[in-house]
Amino acid sequence: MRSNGSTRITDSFPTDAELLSRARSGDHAAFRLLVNRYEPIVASTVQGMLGRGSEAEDVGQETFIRFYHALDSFREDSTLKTYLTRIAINLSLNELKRRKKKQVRFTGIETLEERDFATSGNRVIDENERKHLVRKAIDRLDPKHKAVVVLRMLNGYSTKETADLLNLPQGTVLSRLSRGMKSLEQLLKPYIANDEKTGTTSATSFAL
Amino acid sequence: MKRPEQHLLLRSLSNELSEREVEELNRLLRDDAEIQAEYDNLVKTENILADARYESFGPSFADRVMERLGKKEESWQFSLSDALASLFTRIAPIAVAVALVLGIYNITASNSTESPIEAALGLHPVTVDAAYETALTDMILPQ
Repeated sequence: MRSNGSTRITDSFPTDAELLSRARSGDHAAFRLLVNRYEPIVASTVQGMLGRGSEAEDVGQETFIRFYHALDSFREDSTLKTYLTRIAINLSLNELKRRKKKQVRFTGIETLEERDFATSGNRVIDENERKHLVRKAIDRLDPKHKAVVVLRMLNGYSTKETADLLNLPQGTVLSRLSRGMKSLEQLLKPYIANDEKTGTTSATSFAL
Repeated sequence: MKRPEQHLLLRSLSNELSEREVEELNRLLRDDAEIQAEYDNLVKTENILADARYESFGPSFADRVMERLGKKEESWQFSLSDALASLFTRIAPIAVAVALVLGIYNITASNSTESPIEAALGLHPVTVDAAYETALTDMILPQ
């Protein structure tokens, strides 16, 4: 660790630049504040890509550790949010590649998850269950499409920002987004129809 | 649906359209039922997705990050000392072998008046004559 930071953060809402400056001089409290401040965007990116779990937690931590080691080289020509999202999305894509290789060896995992879906029964589902099923639907997307859906639709980045983050042309981003949204529409189609009529849904109506 | 129209719909979701494009989209939505249906589906899917966003990794995430940072730097320090020790054990035998070869060479190339240690280390013989020759002739009486 850097020298044990003794500076106390007394400001009610220090700016990113202030916190960065303090963190660079070894102030751990300032770095911790940055972690707290940017946890939501990193969580949304990483867990959107990988789902909730120990792997996602690990990638989330790794994102901030890489950021810590790059504190001195980080130039503020890009925003911290974009910088952290870039690290998070790249680490998540790497993790998905690693996971894919692993799944080739253990093909039983996918089948179990599908069975898990099918046992929900024909009943009205609550808010949490609905979230869970929508997240499962996102999880079924191809990683390329998923990355675009997570950045554009969950994190609220523009097409240009998404293109910059993934080093892709904007046209490719829109094409992938279109395919991703089509897949989601298919997966969630009965739910969307049901939601229109009653505001609720039946678990068996998902095309998952 | 054609690709430009599809892209127009997608860009409209994040308010990226120019005024002219908004007019074009409105015209398309008015005139083409298929595009209108597609747009409605997109908006509904977008609304559903908005609920699915994760907000945190759970309580005390920052503590876990800071703890891991501490461990990582400690392990880096340990690994540096381990690496140096491992490097030393690999280099040491080679260095000893080279020293032995040089010592043997010095012994075989030396004249018989030197002691074996002096010869092995390549030292000048420590005698009054040798001292006179090396010190006085080289330093006090330079050519």
